[in-house]
Amino acid sequence: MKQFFATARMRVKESSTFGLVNLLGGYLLRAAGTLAMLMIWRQLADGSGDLGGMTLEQLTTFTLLTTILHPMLDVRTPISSWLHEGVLIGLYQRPMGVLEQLTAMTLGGWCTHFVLLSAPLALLTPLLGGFLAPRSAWFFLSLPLAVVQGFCVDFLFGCLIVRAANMSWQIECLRGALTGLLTGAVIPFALLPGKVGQLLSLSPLGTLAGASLSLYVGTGDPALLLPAQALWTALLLPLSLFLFHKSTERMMSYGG
Amino acid sequence: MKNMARSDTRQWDTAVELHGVCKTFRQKQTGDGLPRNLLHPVYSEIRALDRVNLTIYRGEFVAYAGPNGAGKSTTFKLLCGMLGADSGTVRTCGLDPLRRRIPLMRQTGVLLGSRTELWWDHPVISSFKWKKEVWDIDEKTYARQLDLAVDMLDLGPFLHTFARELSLGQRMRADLGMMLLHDPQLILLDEPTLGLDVLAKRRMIDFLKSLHREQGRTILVTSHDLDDLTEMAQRIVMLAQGRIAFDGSLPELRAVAGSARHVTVDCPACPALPGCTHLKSEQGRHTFSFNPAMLPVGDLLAAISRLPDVRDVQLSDAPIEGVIADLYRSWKA
Amino acid sequence: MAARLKKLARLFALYARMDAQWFAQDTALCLVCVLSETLSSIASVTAVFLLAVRFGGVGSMNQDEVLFMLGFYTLSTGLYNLFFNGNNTGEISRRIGRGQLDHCLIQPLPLWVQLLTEGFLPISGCQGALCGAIITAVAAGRLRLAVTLPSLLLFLLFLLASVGVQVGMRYVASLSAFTHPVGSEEISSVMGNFLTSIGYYPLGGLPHWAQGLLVTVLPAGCLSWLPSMLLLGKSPFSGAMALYPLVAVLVCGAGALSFKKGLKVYEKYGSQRYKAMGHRS
Repeated sequence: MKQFFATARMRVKESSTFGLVNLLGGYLLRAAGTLAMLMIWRQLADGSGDLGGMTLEQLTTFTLLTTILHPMLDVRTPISSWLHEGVLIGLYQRPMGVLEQLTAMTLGGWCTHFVLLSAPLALLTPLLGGFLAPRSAWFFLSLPLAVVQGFCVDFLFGCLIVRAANMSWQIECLRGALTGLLTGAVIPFALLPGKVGQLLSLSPLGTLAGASLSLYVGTGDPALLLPAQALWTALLLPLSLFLFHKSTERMMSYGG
Repeated sequence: MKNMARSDTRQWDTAVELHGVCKTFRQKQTGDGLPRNLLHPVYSEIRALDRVNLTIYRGEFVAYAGPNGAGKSTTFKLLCGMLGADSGTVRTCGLDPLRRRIPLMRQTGVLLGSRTELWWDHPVISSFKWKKEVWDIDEKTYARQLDLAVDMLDLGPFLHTFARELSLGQRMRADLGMMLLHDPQLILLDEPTLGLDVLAKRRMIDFLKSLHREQGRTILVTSHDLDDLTEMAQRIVMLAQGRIAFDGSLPELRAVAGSARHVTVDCPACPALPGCTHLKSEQGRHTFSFNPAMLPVGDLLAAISRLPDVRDVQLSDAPIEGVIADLYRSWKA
Repeated sequence: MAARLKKLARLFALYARMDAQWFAQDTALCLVCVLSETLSSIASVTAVFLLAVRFGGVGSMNQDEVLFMLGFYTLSTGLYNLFFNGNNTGEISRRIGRGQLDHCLIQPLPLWVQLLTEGFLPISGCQGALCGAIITAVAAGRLRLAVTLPSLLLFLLFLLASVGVQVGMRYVASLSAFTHPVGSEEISSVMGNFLTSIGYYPLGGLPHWAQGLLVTVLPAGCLSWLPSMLLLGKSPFSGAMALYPLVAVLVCGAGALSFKKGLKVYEKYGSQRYKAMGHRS
């Protein structure tokens, strides 16, 4: 654990050297984006009154939580940049598991987000019309499952990038667009028409963000969402580990 | 645009002129404390160049050396117009590099060893064709320079290979070939032999020497490999802590560093040689250094001839790397 | 002037050829490229369209008008990708932060010429623009919009303004990359993400102060909402028709000035850092 925390700490320090003003610039833009979304929900609520069974308070909380928990709901490890930055070769030279290091680096990278964006936004949540306490205690089980699943999905995309070395940029773009639509992080599934939202909420990407967030705000059904999350995690975890190890040689041969 | 370029390719006799050039950088200092890093980052000032005066004439082949952080790359960036001097004047090919960067780049070739100008996801030849368009190289010059590069750098076997698939040696050769396509009069090379194997390095050195000898190009080259530099260049300029610490030929450098010589005696037991400093003993070969001014070679050989069981004696110059290392140490002190 | 235009045309042709060569490297690459670009373009606007379907329109726009706006958005971001996605010419803070401007400075071309042409990807980067054109055309058909020469010219002018806002804001944000290359390496993409994540929402129901903010200081509304409203003849506030191109010009001017100011810093301090990532790849 000492090694794990030392690695995570390095990542935190790395971000801290960027300087407060620089870090804040990016986070302020994200906060501004979140506030604009809240206003858009407000106009929708004013217009129709029907928010797919959600109250405005729930919708507000949902959107704020998306930003507050963003790194946990859309896990990005340094593996995606393996090709360009030679990250992985370095990891193999240390007396520590590669996946353990990637996890430590990722968790370390979350700290600045939590301190500079999540904490202030969480404090502002009641003022912005949201609530702080989760409506369902199942959220506390769902979130760790979402994080583990997020790591699996990231490793799978990493393996895909390794396979298609020349297309890493395209795959990243595609992932960005699909994440926005299919994880339910941008627009809650409850707001989508017909059965679209219901179907997406049980998909492997849909359970990443949508499940935890909807449990938090109290609109999700834990009896449906938690088994779906557990199922996808049970499937994706061995698959991602297997494919990661299968891709190791290729990673090392083509740049690391 | 073309007219402007033509009017600026006038003849010049002085390739590089630096007069009293100073350049200072800020460097961020980080500590362990996160709040300090975030709120009060501390900066230190680094004097990269300190009142540097340097003139290089057309047709010279100059080695530019110095320990890490001495200011070599900063000089190159000033000469290319990437940086501006804090004070003093900089002229490259008779032009102010900052104000006349575009015409300057038409007659200057720059190769930074750790960076590539090749297009990574394209064959080498595509990068060459790209350069032809961007630099407005006429057909005749392009064909001539391409032939020269292919011939002398042996680019033929990988001209149609993707840059990303080249070995380091091939990449450096391709980069050098590309650099030459517009037939530059002044060539600035920063660490061109970095990471190359013995054969690739040999080929690079031979090529640069012939470029200078047969085409009369002005070349300024940096390297940490002093043996390479002294083999290539007629003149050596050495920087230390932002100042020119030496400017002269190789024999002059040896004279400045102290004309130490080495003697190696092949005999079973390590002998005692008065006036000599024992350096090492390996498998019955004992190496000493001595100063010929203090101990004439004749006296030394006479002393060795009186030793029992001497099988062989060898006199040599002290290796240049050692000479330079001593110099660097003395500058640091 | 004529010589410079000729040079620009030759450079655009050169980068088009290089893009075609890259694209034709292998079939899988072509297919993934087309597929990912197309899916990305459609996926990014699908959610808002589904919202419009679910609620019968959003923020004073009906379903078809929202579709028109999303088409305009896809076309505008597609054109940005087409002209500024290659070689990080749009995401300029990456080039600055990674010390890659040095590569530009050894070319015998003005920087603006390099930055205007190097990002051109007419083959591998055209899918977004094509999708956008199709969506816009479908929406225009459903709305029975009369296509006249003046309306077409206005449409093109607004498209230019929308792309200009995207580029200009990225360059404004990138000023910090000159002084803080590591911390601000990604600042242009953060700015781009902000613009594009808000840029496809109909902002009609927002309070006026919020609308004002989003079409001036943080002009995400200038990407598609404001121009679409103007093109549909539903000007959200008086003077919007004049304000929109003015904002675009001001943002582009601010971007150019920021870059010029940053170059002065670069001239003084250079880049203490070099990272090959993304350079000519």
